[in-house]
Amino acid sequence: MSNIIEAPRFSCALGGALSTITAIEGFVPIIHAGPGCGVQLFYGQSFAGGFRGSGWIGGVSVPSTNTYEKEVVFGGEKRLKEQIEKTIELIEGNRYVVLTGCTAELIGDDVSSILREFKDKSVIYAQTAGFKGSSYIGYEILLDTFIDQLVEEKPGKENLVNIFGIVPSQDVFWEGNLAEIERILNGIGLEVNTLFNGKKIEDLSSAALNIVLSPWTGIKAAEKLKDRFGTPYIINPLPIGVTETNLFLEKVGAALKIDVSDFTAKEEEKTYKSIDKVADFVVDFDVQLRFATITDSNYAIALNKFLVNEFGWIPSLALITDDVPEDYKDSIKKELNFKNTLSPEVLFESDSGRIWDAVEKEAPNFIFGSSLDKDLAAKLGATKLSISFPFTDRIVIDRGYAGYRGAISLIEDALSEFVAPL
Amino acid sequence: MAKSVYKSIYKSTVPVREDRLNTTITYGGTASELVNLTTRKCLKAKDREFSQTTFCQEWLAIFTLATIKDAVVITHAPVGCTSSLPFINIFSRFGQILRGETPLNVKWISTNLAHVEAIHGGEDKLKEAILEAEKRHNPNAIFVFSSCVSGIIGEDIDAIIKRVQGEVSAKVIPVYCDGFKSKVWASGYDGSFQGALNHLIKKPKKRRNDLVNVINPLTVGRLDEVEIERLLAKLKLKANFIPNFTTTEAIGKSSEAALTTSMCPTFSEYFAKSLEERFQVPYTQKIMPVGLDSTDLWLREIGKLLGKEDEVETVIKAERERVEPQIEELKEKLAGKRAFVSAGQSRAVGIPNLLADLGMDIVGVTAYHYDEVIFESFADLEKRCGNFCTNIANVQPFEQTNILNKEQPDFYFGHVGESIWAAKQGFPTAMIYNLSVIFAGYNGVISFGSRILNLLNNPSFSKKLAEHSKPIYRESWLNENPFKYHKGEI
Repeated sequence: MSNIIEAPRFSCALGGALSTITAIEGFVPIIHAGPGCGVQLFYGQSFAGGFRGSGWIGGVSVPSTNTYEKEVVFGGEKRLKEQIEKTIELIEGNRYVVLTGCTAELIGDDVSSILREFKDKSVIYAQTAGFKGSSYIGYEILLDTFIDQLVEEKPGKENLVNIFGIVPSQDVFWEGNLAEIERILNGIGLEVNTLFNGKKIEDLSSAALNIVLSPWTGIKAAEKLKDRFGTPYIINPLPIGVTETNLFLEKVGAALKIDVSDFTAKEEEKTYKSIDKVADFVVDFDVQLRFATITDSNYAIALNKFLVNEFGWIPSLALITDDVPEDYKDSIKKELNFKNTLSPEVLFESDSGRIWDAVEKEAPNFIFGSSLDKDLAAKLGATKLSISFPFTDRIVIDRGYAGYRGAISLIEDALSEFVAPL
Repeated sequence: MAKSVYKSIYKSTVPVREDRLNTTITYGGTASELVNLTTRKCLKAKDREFSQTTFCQEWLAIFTLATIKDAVVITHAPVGCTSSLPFINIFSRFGQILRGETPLNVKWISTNLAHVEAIHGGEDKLKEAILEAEKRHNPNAIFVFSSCVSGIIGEDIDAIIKRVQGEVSAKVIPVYCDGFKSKVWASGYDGSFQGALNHLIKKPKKRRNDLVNVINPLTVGRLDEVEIERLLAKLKLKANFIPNFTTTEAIGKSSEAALTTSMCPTFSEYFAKSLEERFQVPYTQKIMPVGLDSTDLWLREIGKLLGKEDEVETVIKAERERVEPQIEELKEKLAGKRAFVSAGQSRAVGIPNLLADLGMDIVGVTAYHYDEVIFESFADLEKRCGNFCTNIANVQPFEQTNILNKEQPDFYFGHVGESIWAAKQGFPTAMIYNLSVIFAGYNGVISFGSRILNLLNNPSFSKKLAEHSKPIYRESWLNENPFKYHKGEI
């Protein structure tokens, strides 16, 4: 059974699916749900993540059936058909994606029968009712839809890889993170399909390797592609810093038989040239802090590994907020089990009230969390960097924390918060 | 017949505005046609064959009560229905800062209805949420907001609350605002106020002749309140601003006031009428006090009801004399500029009035909905500003894009979420609410006028943005009738 949640740190399945669709070039979402879902999810999923804007067809411009009492009583299929036809008439898209919300699914509208009237798979649909779970689940449902409805066998490309696991807006730094991942994979001679970089969803079956950049989100898609097309996959949570990014590239290299050592050596040297510039400050001001993370499982792993194993900080608590399915909890705990008693205490908790109680007891010096944690940080006198959804006390455009370059940004941002009161 | 609803004491639900006030959300044409249709009672409810997402009444219901200091918000809904809270929290924190307070978060809990509860009901989780709200925050009130899901599955929130009320000291208050139940999101205000009326407001023990309830939505900023306070003080009156940034106690005392008024008649409509019917507090909510004439009218109505007509005339005279030279200066630069306004219906009258004070031409107005709350003031606006393109639309930026392309205004004044689309077309935009600008009263004309001067002096952001924005709609759309997708009565 799911629990009640105070101040949740994710939106619903429709929220994750909507932010994912609007991140894909040329894809037009059509929400089949109540009137407020699209607006609520724009402000609550995109805007609440560092003030991400509407883009091409997001925000209040998203086509939506806005089902009211009449549809709830008599069914919304007629209204949906009309809405799809008029959407195509008004807006030119590569694909139109119907996303069903709670209302449509509770009243049992038969969307697939309506879509048979539209040719060439120009219109597809995903059942993303909010009650099915979090934004992460919505992303997974959408990927599953793509694989079922759009992806067919295609000739393989031996240097092409797909990236899964990063949910747009739910990972506020998704774009910057993916840009860095693409850059470094390009650096070892690979072409990358992130879903969001202009590459085709239909080409997902051509990849030589699927990379899941998360401890759980996106694994199902990778498994399905393996079943259908035999594509191998690796799971590697978001890498931050030299150590983790080197390991990541070595893993990819091993899977595809590529020697990555020249590239990693060069990046390592460059990154430490940058870190050297702030080393005096870290040493002179004794900046070795005890920190807590209030993030999803992906950032919990990424931040703790980098901050502990590379930056020399002391972990206290890793609060994991993304409602992780039971099956994956052990592997996440394992990822956070470090040598030399330097492992954070790991708690799986989505409820902010319980999160604040746990962090208050630990009283860390530094909190990597959300703007929801501002009051707590003030109470504890701790420094806080907003890094996990939702936050409204920072603006994010294309910043990222992944890879080599991301580590530099992370150090800059964390230490800037530390010196901000000066 | 219509009046009886205000007395529906002990009922948790209020009839929705389309039933109660014949509210429409769909119209396209000219202002004079709309006034004509309204006068002849020939305005028919229409719908759209194509629509874009919009607000639901749950959002507005939460927006109404979220900043009450000693209350907790519970949404009995899937987790996505609290998504707007981080956004509302921005208004809340910013508002507290502007009031000189240390900002604290809104307190909210989602019952996080999952698949199984969306079919069988979520009574246990609602009970748990109420008990946890009490334990964690010790509030005086816990507001339980309904949702599409709780409505469709027929969850009896009243009954659940009754069963758990004995276990908590906070007053647990149902707010019915199922998103699908009303096409008019302003119905959400009524659901919220109904909760407050039924559970927080008691029969007055005394009358306070100097106390005026001023019912303002969260989009009315502290600077507007200061202007209202200033004007009321000249009449020896004190403002009781509710419901935002206040306490359940202050809301409870609203029955003691000498009068109820508001900055936004659309927001206060049901509440003000109910306070009169239940507790005999007279009200006036004819117009938003934005623009000189509207502010005059607003003050005169207060003066009339409280027997302060002479004092009001003195205030009006002095205030006009004070601000008119400054307004003349602004007029020199702004007169003749063509303005398009999009706003909720009360502001859709208020802002054009203010712009007309600055000598600007109104070329078009979009109001989110249209009903008797503004029949009179909209007809007056049409008289004052001449005929202009009029769109009644619950946001619907595709219609706006088409209209703006045809009207080519010098400035666009709009709401959150929709102004960006005007900016992407290259029109310089200013928000019709902005917590750092005064809109209300006499100072509002100067404050907002000065804001517009900045826009006049430097429109480069929109211009450059438009050069790099890819249009959403096919090119052919811009040549079509903007109201092509309106469809007849359903």
